[in-house]
Amino acid sequence: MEEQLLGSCMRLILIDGLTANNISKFNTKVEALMESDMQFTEVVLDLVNIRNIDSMGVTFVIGLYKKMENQGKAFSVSGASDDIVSLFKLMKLDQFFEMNL
Amino acid sequence: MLIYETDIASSYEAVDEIVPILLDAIKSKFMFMSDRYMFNINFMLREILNNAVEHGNHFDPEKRVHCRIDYKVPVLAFIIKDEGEGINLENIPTEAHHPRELLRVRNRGHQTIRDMDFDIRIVGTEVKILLNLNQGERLWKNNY
Repeated sequence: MEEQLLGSCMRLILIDGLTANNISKFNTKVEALMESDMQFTEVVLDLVNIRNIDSMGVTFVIGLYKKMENQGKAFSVSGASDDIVSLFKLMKLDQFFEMNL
Repeated sequence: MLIYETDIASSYEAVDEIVPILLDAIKSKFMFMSDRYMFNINFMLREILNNAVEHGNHFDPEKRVHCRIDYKVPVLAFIIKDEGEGINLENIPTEAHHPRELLRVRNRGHQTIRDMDFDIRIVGTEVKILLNLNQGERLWKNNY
């Protein structure tokens, strides 16, 4: 996972699949980010590199959304493939956060 | 017709390694299979194999997960068997009725697979997932 801070927007770019074998390291990275001194009011999760996803990956996205919601920060997903957007719609999760191309 | 048969270790890493191999085996036999079908099969396989590894074998390095893919016109069958104690069907949630319940931490995989029009049959430690290739993608896409 790469981090890019652009103004008040933190962009988290996933490189590895959004799958169970990677979730632990994603969570560790997010925890470290939350404890850092970096100031941001918005988080964008960039899925442009992601082809593989499972329900634990979806759980990670939901967890990140809830964390940001609790801290009053905006959250959105960007760059997701049509298949992943369809999956989130199937799970009715698109009502909670924006999914931008 | 046997498409592929193997067994894997009880780890998420083993699941991540075998799924692309299984997808390649399917694609080599069914070249007409669309990207959406393949995406859904990818998601389904990861869900069922992860469940077998986590809830069935509890990541026990001594236990294996068996995976077999068969085709008998017009049904593609995925049979996953672990060495655990079996699944209690009553413990698997289905539809969520409250909107916030959609944000629950876990237990959304089986419902999603059903919504993708896979037929799930569970007997003891064996999970059989059936995909009728005659149902047509038009029907499938209507669910999205």
